[in-house]
Amino acid sequence: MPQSLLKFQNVDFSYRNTLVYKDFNLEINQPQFISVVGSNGSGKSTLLKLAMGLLQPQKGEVSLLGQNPHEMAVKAQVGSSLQDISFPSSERVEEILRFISKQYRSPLSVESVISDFFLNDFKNKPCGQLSGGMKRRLSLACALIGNPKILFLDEPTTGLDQKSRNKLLENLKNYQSQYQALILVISHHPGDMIDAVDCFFHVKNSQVKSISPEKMNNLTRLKKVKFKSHQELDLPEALRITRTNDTYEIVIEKSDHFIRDLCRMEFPFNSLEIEPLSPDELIEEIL
Amino acid sequence: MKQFLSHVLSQLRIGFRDPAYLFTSILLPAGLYWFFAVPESKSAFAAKFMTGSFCAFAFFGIIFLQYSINTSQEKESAWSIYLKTLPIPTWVHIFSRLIASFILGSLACLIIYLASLFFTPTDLSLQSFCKMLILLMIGGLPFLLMGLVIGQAFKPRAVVPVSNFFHLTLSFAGGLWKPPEILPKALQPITPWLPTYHYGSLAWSVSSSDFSIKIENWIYLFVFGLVMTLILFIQNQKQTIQE
Repeated sequence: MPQSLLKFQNVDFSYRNTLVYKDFNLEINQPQFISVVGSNGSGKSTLLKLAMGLLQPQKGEVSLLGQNPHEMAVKAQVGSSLQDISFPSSERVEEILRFISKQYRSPLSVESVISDFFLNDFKNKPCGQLSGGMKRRLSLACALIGNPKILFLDEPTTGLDQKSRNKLLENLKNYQSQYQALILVISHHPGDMIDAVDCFFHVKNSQVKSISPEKMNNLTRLKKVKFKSHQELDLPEALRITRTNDTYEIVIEKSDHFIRDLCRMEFPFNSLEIEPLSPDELIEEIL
Repeated sequence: MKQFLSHVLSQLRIGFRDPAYLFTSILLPAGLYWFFAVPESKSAFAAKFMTGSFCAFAFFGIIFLQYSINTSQEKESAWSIYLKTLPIPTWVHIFSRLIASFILGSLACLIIYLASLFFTPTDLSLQSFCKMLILLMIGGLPFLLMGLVIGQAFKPRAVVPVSNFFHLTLSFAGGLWKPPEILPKALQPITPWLPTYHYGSLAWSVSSSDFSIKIENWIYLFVFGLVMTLILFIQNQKQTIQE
């Protein structure tokens, strides 16, 4: 039987009086690229913090590579980028990377990581002068420089433009396949992750459900169409129709076809709005 | 060792690049020495005594403030939380900071020593100065613990004024700015009970042949260190229960 990479066994965790996990169980045995999704407050970041040993469960056990996450031998094989990031403001980008690389036994070369994360132009810049996006890139470079077997990334694409997001996900995917690593990424943009990840984990009420990228892809095609009309509308292909007074809210896959049909039918409507589903709404549709 | 050195160098770089820290920790004691001690250093004895006092003041400040302010700020700093995820043993965190504060403290004392050579009739030899530095390093360990206690007890916004209050009042009342004999009469009975007085005694013992290290000085500093350790233990217990 393969060694478990990450295991939660009957874990209870609460912040003061707020229960986050009750008798929570999860086991990952294979290196894979997983995106953790869930509504706000569902415990995604708590999951990562428990896995890294930054939080202690009140009951149950968490193990990484079959050992306690606090063990130095385990930490030496883990890289992370947390949701909140900060660096000593006077330290330069390259100094930070050299400092982090010295904490690991067989790190990647600082030069290659600087180049992979497009930090060449900023390597001599003090961290206090970096923009949010640059700090995020540096944080991700720090996560990878130790050549870890397990990577925990909490909202790694926040503050990055689309090009940087795509490049980051490509880098992560390559890293995962080259080093057979387990990568757990929390993301509020599941749509961005579809081409990169092996599966999605949806966390809610201490339960984890696995969602395939294909299913997530279908869900991200859904659009929310809002308009006002006094007339009744019957729409069998809609996933969800809600009507409040004269305002319709419809969740549908082929929104452009739907609008065309409304016009063809000369259906009276006004105040039309079409928008993609927010991550939370997407999660609701999954459920 | 590579890991330990990287921490020491990082601490030193951060310290040297922070003008406010450089000013308050290294230049301020030298400035105060020039302002208060040089005019009083009329004889070789007085000059050596005042050099010892201000070296103790500088060293106490650097060790104590380094631990109190950093410990408090680290509770809320994302960088410190990130460092906890790295394979860094706790002793590397604690001792690298200690070594960095020893280096910065020695630099602050060196500036005071050089000033004493230029502006006062001191005859403190380099050998005696080095001996004094070693005593200040060993005797300064209880202030490391005191820094941890204050850092654990106060939030980042409050810790700077609180630490400065302890630093300045304990230095003054312990006789590190003015000899204990010329402190205000109301203060004099308290002075021998303060850890800074016993710390200063270590420096005075080297700087002046009239002083010798008494076993009481070491015992007092040791007991003070034990009390701080006990408070730290209680603080950690309380924190664990709250979590």
